[in-house]
Amino acid sequence: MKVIQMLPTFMFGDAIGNEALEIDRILKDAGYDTTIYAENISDSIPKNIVHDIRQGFEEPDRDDVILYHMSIAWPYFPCIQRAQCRKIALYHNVTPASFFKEYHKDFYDGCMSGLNEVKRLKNEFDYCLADSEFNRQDLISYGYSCPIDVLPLIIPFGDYRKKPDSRVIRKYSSPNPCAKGTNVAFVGRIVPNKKFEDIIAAFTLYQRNYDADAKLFLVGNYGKDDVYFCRLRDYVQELGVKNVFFTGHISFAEILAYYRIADVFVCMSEHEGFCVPIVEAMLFKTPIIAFDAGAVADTLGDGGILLKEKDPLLTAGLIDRVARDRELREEILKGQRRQLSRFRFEKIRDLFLRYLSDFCSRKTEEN
Amino acid sequence: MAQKIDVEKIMDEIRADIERRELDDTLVPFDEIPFSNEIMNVLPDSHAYSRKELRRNLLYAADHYKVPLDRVIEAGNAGAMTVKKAVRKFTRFYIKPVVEDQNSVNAALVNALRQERNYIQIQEQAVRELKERVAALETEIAELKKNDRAALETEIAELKKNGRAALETEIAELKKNGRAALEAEIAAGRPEAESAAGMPEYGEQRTEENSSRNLKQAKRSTGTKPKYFK
Repeated sequence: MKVIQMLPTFMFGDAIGNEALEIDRILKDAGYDTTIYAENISDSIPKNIVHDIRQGFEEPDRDDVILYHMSIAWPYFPCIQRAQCRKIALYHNVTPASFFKEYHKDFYDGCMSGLNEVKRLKNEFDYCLADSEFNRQDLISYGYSCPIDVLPLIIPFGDYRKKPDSRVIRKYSSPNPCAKGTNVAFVGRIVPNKKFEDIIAAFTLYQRNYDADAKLFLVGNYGKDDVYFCRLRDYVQELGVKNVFFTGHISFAEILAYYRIADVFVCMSEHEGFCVPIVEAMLFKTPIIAFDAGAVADTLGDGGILLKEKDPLLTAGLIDRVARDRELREEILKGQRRQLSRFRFEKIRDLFLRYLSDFCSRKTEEN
Repeated sequence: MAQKIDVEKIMDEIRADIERRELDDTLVPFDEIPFSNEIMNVLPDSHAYSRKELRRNLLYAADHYKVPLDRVIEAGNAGAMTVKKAVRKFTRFYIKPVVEDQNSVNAALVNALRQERNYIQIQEQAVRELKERVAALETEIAELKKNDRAALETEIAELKKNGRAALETEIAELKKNGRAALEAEIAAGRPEAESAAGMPEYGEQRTEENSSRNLKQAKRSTGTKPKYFK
C-alpha cells in the first residue's frame, strides 16, 4: 500500500507545504511507502522530495491511498478523480473570495473557484480530515457525508528551538515588558482577510494613549506594488503613528527573533482555517489577544484572550493591561501552556497514524 | 470555549478607565484611504490582467479624453504674461487642429477600450459557463467509468464462475463415462481386465467398498478365497 500526497502548490514556508513535508516524514518513519505530487513547486524544495505532476503521474493501485490537500481549485484534480483507489481529503479551508474583490482579481477568482470545487467534490472522498472544528463544520454544511475527523496541523515544535536572529533581538528588545516601549506583534502574510488595518488602528490608539514608545511589528510577506499593502502603508502615514514595521519576507531565524521580542501578540484576522502563528506565539510564551473569527477560538482554546467585538480603543486598553498586569499575564500564559499541549507533535502524529490505520482497516472490511 | 479569565470583567474595567481618563479615540477610517494612483501609473509590463485596473483606467480616459485647447496662463510678471498671451494667440492656428486630431484619436481609443471591456465580460461569462460544463462532464465521465468497470468486473466473474462450472461438469462426465466404459469391458469377461479391475489405482486408499467389491468379484470368478495382493 502506498500513500500519495497531492497538492496544487508546494511553497517553502507555506503552512500546507510544511504539513505535507511533516506527513511525509511521519509516514516514512512509520514504514509506509509514500510520495508527494504538486504542480507549483518552490525552487528551494529538493526535487527528490516532491514530484512535478506535469511530468507524469503513476496510476495508483486499488489499495493505495491518496491524501489530497484541499485548499484551492486545481486543474489536475481529474487525476485524483480517475484513480481507482482510496481517497482522503485534508481540508485547510478556502478564504472567502469577498476579501479579495477590491484588491486582487486573480486571488478573487481563485478563491471563488476554489470554494465551488470544494462543494462540487462532496462525494469524491472516502474520508476527510479537517484542521479544525470550524473547517469540519464547513464541510458538513457543504454536504459532505463521509466520516470527517479533526486533525490539527502538524507543527514540529523542535524547529522553533533553532537560534533566533541576534541582530533583531539586540535592536528591538524591550528592557521590561511592564515599562514603556512595549513590542506588539502579528505574524502572517499581508492579505486582506487578516485585517492588518484593525491591528494598526488599535496600535495607533495604544501608542497615543498608553505608550508613546511602543513598537508594532507586522511580520509577513507582501508585494511592493500590492494594492492592499500600499493602502496599509498609506494608512500608517495618514494616522501619523510611528514605529510600525513591515518586515516583508525574512528568514526563519528572524521570524523566531520577532516572536522572542514580542510582548503581546495581536490577531484581528476575520478568516482562519487554523492560524499557526497563534500556536507559535504560545510556544514563545507571548500573551495573545485575538478576535473571534474562523478557527481562531478552536486554536486559542482557553489560552489567550478572545475578543468578541472590534473596538480599537478597547483593544488598545487591553494591550496595555496585558503588557503591565503581571498576574493577568501569568494567568494567560498558564492557559496557553495547557492549550499548547494539545498540539504537541507526538500527539498529533499518533492521532494521524491512528486515523490512517483505522481508515485502512475500515475500507478493507468493507471490501 | 470556556475561558478561565473573566474577560468581560476586564473589558468593563478598561471601559471605565477610558471614560474616566477621557481617552482620545479619533481615527481616520481605513475605508477613506484611497487606492493609490501611484499603483496605476507604475504597472510593470508583465503585470497580470486586472479587471479593476482596466475599469479604473477606462474611467479616467473617458473623463479626460478631450484635452482642452485653452489653458490658463498663471499670473506672474506682467511683461512675461503679455508675451505668453501673444504666443498663445499667434500659434493657435497651428495648435488647434493638432489638439482636435488628438482628441478624435483619444475618443476612438476610449470607444475601442469600451468594446474590449464588453468583449472581455462576454468571454468571461462564456468561460465560466464552459468551466462549469467541463466540471459536470468530468464528473459524469468518472461516474460512467466507475459503473462500466463495475459491470465489466461482475460479467467477468460470472463468466469465470459459469465457465469453471461447465468445465467441472464436463470433466466429471468424462470421468464417469470413462469409468463406465472400463467397467463394461471388465464385465464382458476379459481376464486381464478382471484382475486389473480388482486392483486399486496407485496411491488409492483401500476403502471398505473397494475391498467388498474385490471380494465379491473374486468369489464370482474363481469360487475360491479371494486373493489379496500385498
